[in-house]
Amino acid sequence: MGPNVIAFSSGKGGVGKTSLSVNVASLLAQAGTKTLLVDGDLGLANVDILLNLNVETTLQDVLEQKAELSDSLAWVNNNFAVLPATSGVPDMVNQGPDAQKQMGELLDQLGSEFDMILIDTAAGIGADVLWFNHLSQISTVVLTPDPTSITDAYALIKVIWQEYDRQEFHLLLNQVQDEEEAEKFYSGLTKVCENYLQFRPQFLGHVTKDSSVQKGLRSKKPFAQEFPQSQATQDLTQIVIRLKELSMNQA
Amino acid sequence: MSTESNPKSSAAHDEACPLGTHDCPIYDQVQLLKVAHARLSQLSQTDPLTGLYNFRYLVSAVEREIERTRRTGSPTTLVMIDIDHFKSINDTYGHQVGNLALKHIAKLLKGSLRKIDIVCRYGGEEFTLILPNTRLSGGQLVAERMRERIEKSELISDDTKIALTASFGVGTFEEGMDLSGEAFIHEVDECLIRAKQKGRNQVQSVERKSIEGVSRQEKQSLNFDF
Ligand SMILES: Nc1ncnc2c1ncn2[C@@H]1O[C@H](COP(=O)(O)OP(=O)(O)OP(=O)(O)O)[C@@H](O)[C@H]1O
Ligand SMILES: [Mg+2]
Repeated sequence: MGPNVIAFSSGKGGVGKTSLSVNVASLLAQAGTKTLLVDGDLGLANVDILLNLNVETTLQDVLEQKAELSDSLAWVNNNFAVLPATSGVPDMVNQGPDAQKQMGELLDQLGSEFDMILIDTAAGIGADVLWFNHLSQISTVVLTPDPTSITDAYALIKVIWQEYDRQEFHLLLNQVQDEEEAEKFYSGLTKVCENYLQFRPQFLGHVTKDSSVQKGLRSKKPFAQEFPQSQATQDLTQIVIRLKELSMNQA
Repeated sequence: MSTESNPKSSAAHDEACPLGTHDCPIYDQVQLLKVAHARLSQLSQTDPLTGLYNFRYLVSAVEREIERTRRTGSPTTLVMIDIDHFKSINDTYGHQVGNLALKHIAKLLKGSLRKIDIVCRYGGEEFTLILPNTRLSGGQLVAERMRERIEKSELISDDTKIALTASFGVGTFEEGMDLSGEAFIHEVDECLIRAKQKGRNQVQSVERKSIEGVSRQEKQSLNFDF
């Protein structure tokens, strides 16, 4: 079985990549899946903050051969590890093809240790965002009903498609009122993709706009653990089920 | 002693011993070494047969030029040239004629370029042009011109006219590109190999996938009106 690597990207910033990937990871781990969350936001890393982790060495240290991979994993629990990143080092963002290759090797190595690897990427369509997607089996695109988020999600899909010929994208509609609204936006974006790119993205699911997401953020614990009954957690549980099915089909 | 050892004054009066001693033997030796050093460094950069720059120089010049592209944004184009069927020229007419052909091509290349362009002999029968401040289209033009010139040129040895053609690979290093000098040379070399495979006596260029952004129409259709 190969590694199951899932990237979370969005084009537009602040739509919920980090909040959702942290909580998907936490739910996967809770269900017994050995899960690694890689902080792929090499410029403005903050997975560690959301999980209140004490970080000593980071992904960048590993890439620069300054630290061992195993020493850089921060364990949230037995099934849930984070590979944190360093924040505020601008030149790390413009990693060359060497870093991409190294990262690929790193993921291969980690693939034997974990059942599932999630990557929380940076906003935008920078080179690192593109190659993190290239290195993943599953590309998840997070978007909200905000018109700029839709355009940016489309731009991201288009550029990854042009660069790597990828035609499989999984849309995650975040901060919606309900499933109906999510599906409306999904079919709107799907039409444009079909028209101009000649393929259909898939619908991964939706997460309702829910104050428990913010509350979780403030408590520095996954909202899915803090508020298991919340609408957002219920929505995310559906998404986790689909992701598991997808990764089974990939293997 | 201390006053005379000012490096500035010794540089300014290169002809005389900085200590002011006439017929200073050490100073004479230093001058000879300087000349020898200049010659050696030139030799270490040039190909003795053609007088062109050699492979070593090429690599450092490519690094220097792409660094300049990164700094200034002005593109650098590389043209790689390989004489077609050179081995059979050597086998049929002998190495002397082979060398003659190399010199002949070297002269053609050197004779039709700008001052800032750099011509190197890359290896056996391979040549490389570095064209600073040149886009791909400009490089393709130069390559096509050279191809024609070589095809039409005459190499005569012992009253036999030897037909010469060459294959070309062209590539351009643009601002913001993420590629090492070595990788850039390799990329253009791959193109040259493609020109050979496609039947020789032709120019092939590195085609980079151009990424097209989101068009106005796409934006309009993304502006949902629910
Ligand atoms: N379903 C939701 N309901 C309510 N608030 C949400 C929801 N999802 C995300 N948010 C809020 O949106 C904000 C941005 O979230 P987050 O940091 O996860 O986004 P991001 O895409 O990772 O941002 P960046 O691009 O800066 O990395 C946070 O304040 C978060 O609490
Ligand atoms: Mg984030």
